[in-house]
Amino acid sequence: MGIEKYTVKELSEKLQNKEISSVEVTRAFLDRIKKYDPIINSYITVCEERALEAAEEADRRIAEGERGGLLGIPVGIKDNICTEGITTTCASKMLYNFVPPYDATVIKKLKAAGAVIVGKLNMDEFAMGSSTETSYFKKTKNPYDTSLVPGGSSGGSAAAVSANLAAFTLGSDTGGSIRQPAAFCGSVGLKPTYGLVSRFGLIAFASSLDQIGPLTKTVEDCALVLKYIAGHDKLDSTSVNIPIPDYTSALGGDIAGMRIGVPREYLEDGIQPEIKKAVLDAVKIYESLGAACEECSLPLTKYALYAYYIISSAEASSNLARYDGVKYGFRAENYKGLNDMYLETRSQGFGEEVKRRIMLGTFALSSGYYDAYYKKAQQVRTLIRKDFSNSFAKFDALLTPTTPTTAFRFGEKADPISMYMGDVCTVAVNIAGLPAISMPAGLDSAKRPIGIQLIADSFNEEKLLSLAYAYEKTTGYENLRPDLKEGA
Amino acid sequence: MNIDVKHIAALAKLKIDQSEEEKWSEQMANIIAFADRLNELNLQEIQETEQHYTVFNVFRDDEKGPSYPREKILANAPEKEDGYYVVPKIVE
Repeated sequence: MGIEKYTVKELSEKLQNKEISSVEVTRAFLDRIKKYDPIINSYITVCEERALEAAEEADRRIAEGERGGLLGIPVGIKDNICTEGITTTCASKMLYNFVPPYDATVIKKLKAAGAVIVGKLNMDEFAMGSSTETSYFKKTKNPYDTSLVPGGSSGGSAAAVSANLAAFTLGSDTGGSIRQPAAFCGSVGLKPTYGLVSRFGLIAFASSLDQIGPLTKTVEDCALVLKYIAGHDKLDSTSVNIPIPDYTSALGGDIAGMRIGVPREYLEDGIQPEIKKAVLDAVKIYESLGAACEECSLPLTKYALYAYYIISSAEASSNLARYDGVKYGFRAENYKGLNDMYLETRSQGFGEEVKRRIMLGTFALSSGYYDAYYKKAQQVRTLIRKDFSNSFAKFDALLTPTTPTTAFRFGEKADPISMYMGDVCTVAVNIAGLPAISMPAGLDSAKRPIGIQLIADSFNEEKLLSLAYAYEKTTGYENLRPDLKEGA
Repeated sequence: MNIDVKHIAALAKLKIDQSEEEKWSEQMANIIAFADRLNELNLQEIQETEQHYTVFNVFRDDEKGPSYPREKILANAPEKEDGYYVVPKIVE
């Protein structure tokens, strides 16, 4: 393997020193995609021509003396983020032919920074799922073991980074959809604070929970990318107007004296013993670096899961009402009148998991059940936020597993509830709008990546990244890579 | 709980085959029983969370700007004619 193995930071240095050109880097990634993506299946669309044009443009900018951390760097984008002129499917039959007339704000920002979009990445349909198995198009494989799922819903984004099929990627996280696949594929994944990154152009799943974030090889790359995608956007009324720091400058600082809470509910029954051990080993590492770690309690953890499935499904049922076969996307061929066209289009266009969420959400919002479900879930949300804010009065960050188990096999979780239970460590963060990062913590005995999670208070990404960086540098887990076999 | 899946499906504009009704009823009942565990909590007098941060009345300046070109927006329409979307006839 050649230059595809380098981090964004390393590639950027080589580009600016003119050791290599963006066209060379982009070609290397495109060649690698041709060679290995038929095995991994991470991309839905590869845009070779556009990518090479963007790379030429980046090379011109570099030649003119421009500097920038993402200038000329190949990136892959989750296929629910709108890219002008490039099909954006949400991995659904419903949008199989949708070509957005505009760029999402994060795409505008990446283009302005000179990043090179190489393609659009596979995901669970409409980001609903935890294994990328609900995609209408293909099943993405875990680069560590192709009999395993990559996690989801940003499974393509996580697998592509892990297999060096993009220098970094963007995903979206509604209940763990960046962090869980990052954990399963041995990548770093950050879910930013709600409101830090604009959602304009992110195809909505659950608007009060969705956030776009980076998936990268290292914590340093994650900090670098965040700096470019964060910031206020007048096109997203929930985006927050605060100054964006240089997140990379927070890295490498002394973490002595920082206080880390370890909530006991995240280490109870149902957590794979090797993952629990990885968290306890991380406690020892942090203590050796001078941080103070202490057990704490977040008693409402399991209730977050129930509240999450009500709130996210309710919002989804409303957001997905727009897919009616009139303005864009799929329309059924045979129908009798307008109402039947809606029914046929939606019944044929949506997959089973999406229908399940729409049905659940419609039920939770329906007359007679609203108070018992949706309202109650929103009340529980208040309690969960309180739980976290009490913790952050005492701690700088919380340390937990990202997932209860490492990656599972295709088809292993056929029952929806068993799939939902796998989100138990990640959903509370979205319910409370907090930032959280998943970072690689070695492999289990079956050689499957383990991910551990740090959670911080709102807009404390710098703290989160500096703690994650300290762990990564001490353990060296950033250097773990899967051993890909061509044609395997 | 007995859920009227036909009613819910009609509200959601989804078609459920008679042969699938039982499967849907059972699955919905299981998922709702799972969510019913929220009833273990005492929520009296707890306010609902409506937004993460209190953001008041976000207004933009009332400035005119270009809109998207009609052709570009209509390019994605399954059926169009003379600059309009085409849908099945709704008035006899």
